[in-house]
Amino acid sequence: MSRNLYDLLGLICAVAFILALKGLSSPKSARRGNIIGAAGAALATFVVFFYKSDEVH
Amino acid sequence: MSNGLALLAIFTLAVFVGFEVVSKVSTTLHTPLMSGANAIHGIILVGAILVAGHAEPGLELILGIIAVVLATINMVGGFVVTDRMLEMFKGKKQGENK
Repeated sequence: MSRNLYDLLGLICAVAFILALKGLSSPKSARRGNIIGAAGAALATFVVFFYKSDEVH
Repeated sequence: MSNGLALLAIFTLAVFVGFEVVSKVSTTLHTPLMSGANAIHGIILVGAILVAGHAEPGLELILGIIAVVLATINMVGGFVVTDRMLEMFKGKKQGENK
C-alpha cells in the first residue's frame, strides 16, 4: 500500500461524494447519486483499516 | 508545482466545484441535500478509526471505540435516511413533500 495508492483511492472517494451531490440536481438521478456516495464512503472506511502510518508517512 | 501550491490549487478548484454542484440542486430536493451532506460529513469516521487505532489501552481506547461506534451510526444512518427520503421523490412527487 504505497502513498500513491492511498492518494488515488482518496481521489476516487472525493469524486464519489461529488457525484452524490451532483445527483441531487434532479429526482431521477438523485437516488443513484446517493448510492454512489455510499459506495465511496464504504471504500474509504474499508481502506483505512490497511493504513500503516510508518509505511506512508 | 510545489506541494503547498498544489494543495492550494486543489482547494481553490474544490471551492468552485462545491459552489456549482450545490447551486444546481433543485428546490424540492433541499431536504435530501441536507441529509446527504450530513451523511458525507460522516467521513470523519476514518479519522476516528485512525485515532482509536493508536489509542493507549484504558480510557483513551474506550472513548475511541465509542467515537467509532457513534461515527458509524452517523454515516450509515445518514445514507439510509437520505435513501428513504429520495424514495418518495421518484419522478413525480408521490409522498409527503417534506
